[in-house]
Amino acid sequence: MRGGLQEREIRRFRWAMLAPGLIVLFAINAVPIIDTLLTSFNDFYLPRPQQEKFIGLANYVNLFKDARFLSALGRTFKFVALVVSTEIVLGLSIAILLTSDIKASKALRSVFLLPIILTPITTAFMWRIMFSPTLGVFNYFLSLVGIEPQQWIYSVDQALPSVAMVITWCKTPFMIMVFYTGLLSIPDDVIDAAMIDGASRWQQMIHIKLPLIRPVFFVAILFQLIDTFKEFDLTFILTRGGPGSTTEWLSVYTYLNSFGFLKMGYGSASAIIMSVLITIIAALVVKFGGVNLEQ
Amino acid sequence: MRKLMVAVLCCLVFLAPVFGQAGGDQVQWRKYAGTSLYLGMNKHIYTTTIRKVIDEFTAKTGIKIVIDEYAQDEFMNKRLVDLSSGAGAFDIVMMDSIATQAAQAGWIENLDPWFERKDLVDKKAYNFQDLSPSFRKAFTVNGSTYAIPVSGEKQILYYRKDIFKEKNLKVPATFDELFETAKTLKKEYPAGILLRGQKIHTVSNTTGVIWSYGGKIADDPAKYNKAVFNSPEGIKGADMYTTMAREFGPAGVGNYTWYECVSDFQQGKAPMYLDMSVFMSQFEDKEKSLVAGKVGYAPMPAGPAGSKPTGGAWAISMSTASKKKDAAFMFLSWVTSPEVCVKLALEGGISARSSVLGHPSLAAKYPADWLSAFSAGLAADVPELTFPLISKNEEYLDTIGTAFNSLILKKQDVKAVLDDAAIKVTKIFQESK
Amino acid sequence: MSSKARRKKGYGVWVKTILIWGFAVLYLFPLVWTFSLSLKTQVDALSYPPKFISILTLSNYVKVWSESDFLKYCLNSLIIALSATVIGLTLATPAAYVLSRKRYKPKGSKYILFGVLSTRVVPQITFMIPFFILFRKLRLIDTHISVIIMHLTIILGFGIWMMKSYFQEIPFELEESALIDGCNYFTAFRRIILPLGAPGIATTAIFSFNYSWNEFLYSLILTGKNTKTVPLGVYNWVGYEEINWGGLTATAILALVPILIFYGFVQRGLVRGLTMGAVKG
Repeated sequence: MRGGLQEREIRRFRWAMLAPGLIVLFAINAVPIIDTLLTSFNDFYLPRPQQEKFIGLANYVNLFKDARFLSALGRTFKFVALVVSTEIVLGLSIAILLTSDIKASKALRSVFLLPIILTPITTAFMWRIMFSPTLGVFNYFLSLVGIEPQQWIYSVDQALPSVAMVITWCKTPFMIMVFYTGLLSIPDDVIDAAMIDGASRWQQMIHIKLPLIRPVFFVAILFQLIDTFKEFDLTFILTRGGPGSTTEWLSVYTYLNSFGFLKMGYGSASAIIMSVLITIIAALVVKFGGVNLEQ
Repeated sequence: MRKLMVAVLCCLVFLAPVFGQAGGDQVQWRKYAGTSLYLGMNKHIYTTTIRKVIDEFTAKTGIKIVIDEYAQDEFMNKRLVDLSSGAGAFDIVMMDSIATQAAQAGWIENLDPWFERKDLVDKKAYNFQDLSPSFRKAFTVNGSTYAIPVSGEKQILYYRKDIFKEKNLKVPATFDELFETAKTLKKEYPAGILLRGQKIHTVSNTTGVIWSYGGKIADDPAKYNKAVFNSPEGIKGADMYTTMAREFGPAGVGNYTWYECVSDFQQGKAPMYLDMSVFMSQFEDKEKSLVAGKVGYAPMPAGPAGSKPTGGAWAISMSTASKKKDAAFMFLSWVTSPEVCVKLALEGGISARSSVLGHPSLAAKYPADWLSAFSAGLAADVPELTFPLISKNEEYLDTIGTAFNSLILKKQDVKAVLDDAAIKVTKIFQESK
Repeated sequence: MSSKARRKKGYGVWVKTILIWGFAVLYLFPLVWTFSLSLKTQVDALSYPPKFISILTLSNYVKVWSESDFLKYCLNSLIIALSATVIGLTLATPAAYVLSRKRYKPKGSKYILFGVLSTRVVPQITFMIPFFILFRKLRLIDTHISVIIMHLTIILGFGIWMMKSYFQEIPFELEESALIDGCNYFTAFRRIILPLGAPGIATTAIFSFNYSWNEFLYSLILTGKNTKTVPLGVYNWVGYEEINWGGLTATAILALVPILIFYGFVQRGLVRGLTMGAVKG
């Protein structure tokens, strides 16, 4: 029967296209994830590997009793919310502006791409000296308009927003690019049809374009949420989690436990909890964001 | 009788080479020719200076030296991964306060037996005792040496000679004087005194002040049973440092590391700076510093118990996973030998050997007051090592650092904060045993 | 449109243009500052008030060229980033396509997609030691392959998800008509999706390359003297007693060049894809 033959062909096609990518992906990731999971059930102090022993869920229980872990948790949520919401607003606005009828949009696109291609380490060090309370250029500009020098990443109150600013600066170009390409990919005839129907530019945007880029939109947000939750490199160079613990996110605390205190079991458990949390958030975004996993 | 004497003389002549004269004639320099040694080094001035002498070593022994250098944080990560996994990518590793941890974990070699290897080193000429005792102690675990110190530093006071002259200020000799001077200077400058305030970075400097007030960190400098820095003396010392930082330090001092302090001082933003002596070259270099030539160096001020500066040292050690230990030890002992150390000191101004520090050629090259401040620091009688010789040193730094840092960030009851920290640190000491 | 309305429209365009260019300039400031530091001496770099006009010097660039193995770092990074991007995209694009088509995707595709996403949720730092031990056993330390494999862990997941959503925007009817015309499944994919999806593929390629080029942690652990990459070259200027701003920023600016070139190449593909899309009947 034609149906059966076709089904078989489709199946062959499907797996020929899927298999290589999936096999490589899962193969590479399986080993370390399992290793981390197994370590999280042990009490493992790296300099004394012979004393490693199984302790079941003790690490997890202790983490939830650990005040420092819990405040890191809350802080991370605050940080992620701040960063991602700013990125969405900023990224979308700029992308929309870029697709409108302004001049020299191609050059502008390249300009907005630049922050994301600068090596993150450089970004971190640059912002660190620009933030310097005594020698930094930001305070200089503020002084020109009569504002007092700020402490930025050296201040207990300003550190979190300052780091958030840096991350946003760095990652918004990603959102801009994704939204922009998404808007561009909308086939012209859809827009043409809307225009013929008399829709204004604004109506086109709200009712046609934005809904059409919804899949791309939410995938971008999804990845940003995940990455921001894991953010570590820039923060570590900027503040090392300080002053005090005001920028100590979960990632920083996990690093401290694993590579500072060398409590590998405890650190692994912290990492697993982080992963579970991120997975839950991802699942929520997928469900409510209408990221259509079925088409 | 005569025949006996001749016989004895002949024996002596024959046996003389076996008993060996000084000068390393026993050392079989070319035995390992063709080997390559990999050095895992921190990006430190020491690494820069040894690059200048490794060719000499290669010419002498035929052993090739490959230096792999990393910036500090990344060096720590890379070293940890290499040592803990037993990979042996590095034969020789630069070592610091994790020495105890590394030794106890079996990651670095006990060097005592290696010094008995006559084919690798001339022990007498090496003059082990010449290595500054205070630095040597930091790398001695259970009575055995695990790493050789190569560069040392001590807390000293940096100050601006020109500003002091202009204002007719006396160089502070006690902490009370330092306090008053900093207070006066704060009225005019962004900071009266620069001090490290970041959690981890503040520990060594605060410890020195605690010592100078008669306090100590641990009850027993060898056994580490209990934390005692919350004694009345310790509280006074910690209070002095943290108050100075909070009131007269720069804005944002709570997260200041050496980097911020050094930059501010180089740009002339503050007239005083209390920290390790190693930054002298950063201030005297005209290409980096606006205050070159204007800097004065004084020993750390004294508290009621005297001037007891903390110090630090970097050392080099041998990885137990190395597959070329003989060649590695030959290099290790050569590069830390007296003659080579003099050369290195002339290049970079650093050493851990007492004889080198007093060498006249050094005196010609470096500011006299810096040398005397540094020597005074070395000579000071200190109650214990700067960092406890325990395995869980990172946790220690984090715990006690958090306490000091919180005092710098906000005025609080010093006794309460230190009491709380002392309980936690005692626990860490116990867990490290 | 009346001439009054047209003039109003003209103003609108200008206002928007000025607004966005103004914002772009502000946004670019840190980069401009980085560039300016690469031309200053160490003592000028941190001077306050900041010296906007100072003696400019190329000595930092000269230093980077002669004192560090910059070309070698570039070459290593290039090999790693290009390989990771090409391999990653070759594996991910077909998978993304199949997952974006109701007709083709397997029954449990929801779970497959979620599984792909899960590989991304574990923080990188915890992978450091297990991977190092694994690659050491396989004798793959200080080779490009180990780093490429590590980068693939991120690029594959990212690529599959990103391109799937771009492909979803293209209506299936187009492939349907191609299939009816007698194409097989793969040709339909090649002739319709690849050109139309070019912007999406290009964007994914750029971000994948960018990620790999700038990736730091895995490169640190898995490379050795021979395979050191550009980000490590930047970090090289951070020392125990000082941070050499000139060297650091000069290396960073030089590091932008290859990515910009790559971006240029990919842009052409993007433009081609867009124009082809406009021509379709």
